[in-house]
Amino acid sequence: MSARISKGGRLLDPSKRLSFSFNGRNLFGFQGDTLASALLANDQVLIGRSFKYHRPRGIVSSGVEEPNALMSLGHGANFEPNRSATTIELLDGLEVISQNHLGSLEWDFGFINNFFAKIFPAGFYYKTFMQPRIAWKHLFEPIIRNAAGLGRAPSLPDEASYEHFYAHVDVLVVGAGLAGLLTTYELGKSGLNVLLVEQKHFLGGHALSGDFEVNGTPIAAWIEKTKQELANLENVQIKKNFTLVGIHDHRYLIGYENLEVAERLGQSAIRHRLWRLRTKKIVLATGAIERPLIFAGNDIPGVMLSSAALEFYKLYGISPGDRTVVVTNNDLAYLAAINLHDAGLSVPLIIDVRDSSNGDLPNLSLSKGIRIEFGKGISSVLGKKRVSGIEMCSLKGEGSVQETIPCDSVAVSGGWSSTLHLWSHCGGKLIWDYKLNTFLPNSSKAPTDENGENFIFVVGSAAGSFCPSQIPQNIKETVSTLLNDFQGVKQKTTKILIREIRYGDCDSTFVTPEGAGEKLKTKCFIDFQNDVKLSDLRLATQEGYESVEHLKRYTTLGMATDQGKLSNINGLKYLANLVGKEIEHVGTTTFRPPYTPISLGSIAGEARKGLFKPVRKTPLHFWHEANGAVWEPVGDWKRPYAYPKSNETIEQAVAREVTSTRHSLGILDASTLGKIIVSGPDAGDFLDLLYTNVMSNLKIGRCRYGLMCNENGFLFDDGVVARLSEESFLCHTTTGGAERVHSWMEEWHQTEWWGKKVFIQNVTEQYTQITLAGPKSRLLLEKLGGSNISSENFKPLDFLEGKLAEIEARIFRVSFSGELSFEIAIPSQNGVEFWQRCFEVGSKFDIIPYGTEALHVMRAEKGFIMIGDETDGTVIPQDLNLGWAVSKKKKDFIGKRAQERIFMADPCRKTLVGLSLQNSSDKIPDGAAVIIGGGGKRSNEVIGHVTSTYFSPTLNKPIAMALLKGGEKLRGKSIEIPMEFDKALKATVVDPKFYDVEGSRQND
Amino acid sequence: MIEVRKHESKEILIKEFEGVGMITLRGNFSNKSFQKALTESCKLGVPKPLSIKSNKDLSLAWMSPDELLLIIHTDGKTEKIKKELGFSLEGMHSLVLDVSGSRKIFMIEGTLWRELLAKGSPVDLRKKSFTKGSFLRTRIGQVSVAFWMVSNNSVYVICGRSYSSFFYEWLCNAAVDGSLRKFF
Repeated sequence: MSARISKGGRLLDPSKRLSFSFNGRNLFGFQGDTLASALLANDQVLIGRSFKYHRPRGIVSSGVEEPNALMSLGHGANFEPNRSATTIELLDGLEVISQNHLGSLEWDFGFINNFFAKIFPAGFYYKTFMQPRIAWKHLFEPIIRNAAGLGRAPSLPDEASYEHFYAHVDVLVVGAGLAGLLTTYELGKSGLNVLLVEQKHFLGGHALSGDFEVNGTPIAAWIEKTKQELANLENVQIKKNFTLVGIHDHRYLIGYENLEVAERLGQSAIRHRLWRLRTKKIVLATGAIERPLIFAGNDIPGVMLSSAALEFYKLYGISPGDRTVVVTNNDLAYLAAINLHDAGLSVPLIIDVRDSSNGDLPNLSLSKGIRIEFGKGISSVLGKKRVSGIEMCSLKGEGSVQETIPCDSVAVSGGWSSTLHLWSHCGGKLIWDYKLNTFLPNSSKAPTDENGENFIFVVGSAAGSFCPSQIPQNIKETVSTLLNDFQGVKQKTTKILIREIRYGDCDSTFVTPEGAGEKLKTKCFIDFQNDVKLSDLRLATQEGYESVEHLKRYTTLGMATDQGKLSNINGLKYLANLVGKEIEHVGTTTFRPPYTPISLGSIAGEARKGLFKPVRKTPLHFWHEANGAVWEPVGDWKRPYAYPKSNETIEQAVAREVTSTRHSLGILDASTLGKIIVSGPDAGDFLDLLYTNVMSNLKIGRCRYGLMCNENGFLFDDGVVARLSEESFLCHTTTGGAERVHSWMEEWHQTEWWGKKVFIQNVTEQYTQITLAGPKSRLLLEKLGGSNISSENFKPLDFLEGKLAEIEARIFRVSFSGELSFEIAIPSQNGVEFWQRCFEVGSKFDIIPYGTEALHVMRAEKGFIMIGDETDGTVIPQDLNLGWAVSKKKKDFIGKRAQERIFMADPCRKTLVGLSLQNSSDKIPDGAAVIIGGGGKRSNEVIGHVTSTYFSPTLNKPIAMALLKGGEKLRGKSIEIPMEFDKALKATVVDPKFYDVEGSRQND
Repeated sequence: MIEVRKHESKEILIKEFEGVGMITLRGNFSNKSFQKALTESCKLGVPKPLSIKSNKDLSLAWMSPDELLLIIHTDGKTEKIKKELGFSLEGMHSLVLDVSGSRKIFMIEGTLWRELLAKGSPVDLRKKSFTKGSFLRTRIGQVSVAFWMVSNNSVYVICGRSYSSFFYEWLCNAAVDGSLRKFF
């Protein structure tokens, strides 16, 4: 059984007992435990079921590489699935449930899949798509969905808080093991600004489980001392629970800080923080990850990595089992055997697949009387939900059993893989080291920054220095190279001495026995999390998937949440064997960020609920809110759509607003309209190039409606331009168009016409713009007083600068409603005051506020176009009967040449018409297709579509505009709009100006 | 300058103001007459890129290679300064606009103001990089802003008027107790 023992446990605080629940059972651990170590302390060796076959699984590792121990934490709004138990710091009150079983963890009905493993081979999922076709939908999909899929999705919205944090540092050191600490120490002394990040909740990494000395100080004490010394340096910061998950171009990095424990203890309001870092240089001290050896039954609970066995004992005081068999192809695994033996636990046997080793550790084991068998392997692990023994065989051969050894734990080591994911994120290449049996960074193909310089350096076991004694020299040299890029910074080296340990070479063996047949291979698991076996890889290569990228996708090898941290190298080795190549020629799959899974909450950061997206508000927003406005989003703005009264529907409110405006007086908040000042000696010429019509001849004090097209001649914005002075114009844009038009102007000014002397300034937010429309609007302005706006003095398209009700105002006589109408621009800070004055004075004229929908109805009644309704990026002004606003005299303007192309001048282009419905109770859907109608195949050709459609309260009938092929020529003809169930609406093509065609109302 | 509202958390005090006089000034910075006009009307020279110059009444900020922002700290003087500037820049290709209504100004006080801004702004906020006199146009969260230091413990941030209520909410959220950790 696995249990807590009195020895080891460097990280534990035995005085602080913590309670937690696992599948509803109350268990205990100590401060300093991970969830994994606490489970083992409670003899919880079986911790979950596998993804596909629902096989019993146990904890394999002690770190981020863990494939099996995925748990669901918490409940309700705090529920979180698929968290790796080895990376969770134990907390008092933690609620944990295991995953992937139908029924209980002990008795899982899904285990039946295991007996049908033959029908779930590699590519099974893809094969279900093929034959018979009907089977996928009704048979396979429901079964697969039910059986597979790790943890459940949370059922409630997450209540925790997340945020982003941006930081710039000179050097980032990743990993606070021996190498990371030494590097930070050396860099810190140089005065550079250094950030050291460590993914675990403690410093020291694997070194903390070691027994060597640094400069005569035992390692654990040295780590503590170094931590203190670094804390005293102002230029150095250390972050624990911080994983660097991605390295991107331009030295941009993503880090993930886990603050769950602090949050739970009330010390942090934030659960996860996403760091967005920029750094000059990065030092990777990311260490190495041990790989398992592969043999039949290697996934039975109780089989774990030798490094995990060692770490669980050294850091958490855990005995992985009473009798532990060690199986290895290298010297380092002997550390587990020696330590467990010294702790008084039984280590009946070390199986070493090598022929011999003359390293210090095997010799030490022998001297302690531990039995070592060289040249042997494991034929099978015995046991179902827990290891009960192993069958030893000769490494060579097919696995005939030589001896059965009872044990309840197997510590396995298939060598170490340097952790180089981050090196690869930004293009660093790898090179296979035959002696160390790992990929190492290829320093001649290092990741480079925007200047082509190497910006990532690798130290420690990530660089292949597996013996601690090699590390100080390696760091001294690396830091020296790194500092070359910091001018005036001097290296201050501290002498570090670590006694050398002699290691025997690591062997390339990864499967035992070498000649394992198919029967054993179907029990040889290579990727635990996705249930991929040696037999699956063999089948896939047999079916032609020989490229590593194809093999990965077909078998799902390395595609689980652990991203194949344990399985990739073994998979590549086996593929190399199968296709008869060396591993370096097989290639690797691409390492992509994130290095470990991160929460979606951290990616969203604070951008949720009210902070999801900015809402722009006019100075009058609060008034609209207080007066019951329903909103319409326009760009980032919120505009009042209508102001329904309590007894009204929205449609009724719109009708009332239209009618009231047409009869007496309506007031509209038009502040969102874009306002851009173009000023300078060449302003007129510049605008002539941007607008389709002439602006340079506009008189001071006058306005003109203008159109803007893009290079292809298509209309993209419209608005009124006013000439403020000889050199200064004010250009109005659509609500959503201000920023776009401003950048458009800047771009043409900066890239094409930089010689033109103009300044372009966006002053949209400087003004509260208010429209007063209706036959009584002039009466109101006169009542407010201060400016002469009589019909003789102030003609349509005039503007003046003056005062209204003692408030500074710019008054434009423009109309988008077809009524007598004035637009008034007030400096933003005075907008509210003016608006309120209008209501005070306007009550006797029955003033009412109207929203965007009433505005739209009124403009449609007048046949005025709306950018985005009548235009869709393929419409030229001529299509909208706006040819009058396109200059024929001007030598050039943006869009001119495009509009001269044959296609643009084609008389068959769709042009704007009005539609009058024959049955006035019908409603035309927006965007509906239009046909000639009358039955027969030919007549069903679509000739255009409806661009705007409203019910006109003024005319008491539905009106619509459409872009139709032939346009004007169809005037008076009837067309049809096909609807559901073979029905069609019948309409007559008419002039799009439905109301007051002569314009007598607005010109009053 | 009118205080619109304020929010206080354990570590941060946020105040929102309006009615701060602001004038946009466009022109050719290398033109001697432009420089002279500026010195005459504002008693301030052209600030270096990404910086701000201040005296008792005024601050002059570098917005772009041909744009400056003049911030008038004394109430009621904007119109007068605008006229003076217009007068001294007469005949030069330049632009002077009163934009006092375009923006809101926020004062953020507290030793952890750098940490607060770093939650949303990608710029380098280290003490050695962002100093008194630095002026940066950047973004905070999804809002475009500019900011500069008032003192070691406070910073001014300006943003577009229409974004100010969203930005205020953003700041209050970022200032929540227990979310600020000393970093800079």
